[in-house]
Amino acid sequence: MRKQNVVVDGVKKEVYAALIGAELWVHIDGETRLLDMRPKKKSTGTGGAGSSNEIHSPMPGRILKVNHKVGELVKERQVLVVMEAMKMEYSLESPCAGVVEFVKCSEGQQVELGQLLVRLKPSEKK
Amino acid sequence: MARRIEKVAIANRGEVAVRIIRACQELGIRTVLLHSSADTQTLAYRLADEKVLIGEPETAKSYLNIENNIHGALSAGADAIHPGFGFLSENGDFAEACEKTRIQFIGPTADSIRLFGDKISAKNLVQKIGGPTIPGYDGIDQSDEVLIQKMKEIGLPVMVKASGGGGGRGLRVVREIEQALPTIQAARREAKNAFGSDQVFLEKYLDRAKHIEFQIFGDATGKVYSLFERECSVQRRHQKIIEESLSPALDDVLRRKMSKVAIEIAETAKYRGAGTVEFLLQDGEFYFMEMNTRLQVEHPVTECVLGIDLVKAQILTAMDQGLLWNENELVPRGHAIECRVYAEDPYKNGIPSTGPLHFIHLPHAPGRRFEIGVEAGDVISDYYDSMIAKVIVWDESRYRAIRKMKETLKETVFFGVKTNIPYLQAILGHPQFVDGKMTTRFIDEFFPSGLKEKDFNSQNAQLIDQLKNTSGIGLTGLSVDSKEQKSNSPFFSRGQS
Repeated sequence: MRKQNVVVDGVKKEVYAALIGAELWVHIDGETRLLDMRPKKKSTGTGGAGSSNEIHSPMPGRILKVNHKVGELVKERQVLVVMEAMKMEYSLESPCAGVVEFVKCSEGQQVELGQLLVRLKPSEKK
Repeated sequence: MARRIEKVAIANRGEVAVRIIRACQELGIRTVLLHSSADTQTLAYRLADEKVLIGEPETAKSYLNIENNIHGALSAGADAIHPGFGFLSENGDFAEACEKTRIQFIGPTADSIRLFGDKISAKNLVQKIGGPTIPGYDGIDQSDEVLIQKMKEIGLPVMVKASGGGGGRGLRVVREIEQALPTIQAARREAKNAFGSDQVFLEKYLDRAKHIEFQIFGDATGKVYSLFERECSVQRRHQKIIEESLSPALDDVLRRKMSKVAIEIAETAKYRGAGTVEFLLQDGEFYFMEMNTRLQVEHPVTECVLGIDLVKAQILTAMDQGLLWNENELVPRGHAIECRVYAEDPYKNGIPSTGPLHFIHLPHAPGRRFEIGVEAGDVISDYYDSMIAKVIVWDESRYRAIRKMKETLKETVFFGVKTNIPYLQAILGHPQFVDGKMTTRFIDEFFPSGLKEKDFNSQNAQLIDQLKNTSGIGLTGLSVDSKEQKSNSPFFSRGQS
């Protein structure tokens, strides 16, 4: 890949750009940026986004520990799942207070980016 | 009498495997790469003269498996093993297994590794020679109750650390006693995973200290050299991010004092080969932290300011040969900085980013050095550490070295996995770093939640639109063919694959 010269508003810019899958990778002004080229639509809960009562895996990795079973009551920001990727541990916390509705992962399991791990039934707000 | 080494087995992977292979090539020594099944698409695999598969991707089944590594080395007829850093590099049993099978372990003796690997004996040795140590606990009684009691005695903040290894792994800080139990449990798991032993130790946490370490080297005659210091205060979760040599925090008096302690520690242990004595420096007082009995990730900054080659020195020493430098020549010149490039999302608090690397551009120029273990088209896997490259610069002064690093990183491009380069740039531009005043709390203080992605300025937004839609540079013309990338890579010559 070659550096490309582009002129914007009379100013010469050097960029690297490549379309990889649905992502446009651009290196401009000394920084690499990543743009999602998919048509804009509502988040479907990949990559850790998703509804506020679900925990999705923020990366590919392995589940080390699942702290709560179905039916257990958890507080907000309580650690529900501990996972490992690239030799580091990451704690995944509950996004809200509630009861564990289901757990879709088990210790030792390899998971993908964005995979749904736990869903909570949020507590009634007082 | 000098010992012959004609074939070195490399019990490691990634950039350090490449570093060792290059050193061997330059010394006319053949190399055998001991690799896992996940590591056949790597630069080390392409460069090594021979390859031996030693197991599955999980580190416990390959890179941490002593038997597999020894068998691999023997099967290829290697007469020495270089363990690199991490994995088995500080495992006394591994060094001993090498000694028993008459494979030369390129590093210190198993006894030295055990002496310094055991935090109690290391501390005892330092206290014996009158060196300063930090209060802590590393008893055999590892019950929750005892550990928590000891934490209270030492006084918070206290850190919990893997007894089995150096580096940042399995190391956590307890600031409130409620965190004690979960922290101990997490540290045990991480320690077990990384080093195969879940033993932990406690130590008073100095909260505004600088991390200063001295590179030492014991040659084949038993003489120990101090190769000056490195400062590695910029750490996140106790993992180093930026290192430099010399440290802006030491004056000559303090430098001599610390250097003397480092040499005495190594001499007392009759230490041989490359080692690093780590200190914490706070309010003008320094404390021995630990001694790492191996090559360090950040060894290149020392090499740059002294004009030496530590890996070759290790190999020569293993061959009972003399070194090419002497004390009078060891005068540091200029300043060197290393930045570790991690495959992670800088805007999502550093969560790992894995997958195929489609494109790499490394802007070579005088005073810049790149250590990397992959080429475009290779895949960054989630089985291993996220450090994919090291960028090292040397210039005549610290200020110039910082400028050079910033310029270098501006032109360093990785497409396919995200990297911490924007984060490195932010750190390099921070006034406290520029002033050389950073402590090990630097990241927690100034970048507690990572980095926030900036919006494009209007000019670039316009350009991006143009790129997205476009006529000027059609996207089809820009799309990546990783095969083509490999041959067009501006840096790497292709080995066999």
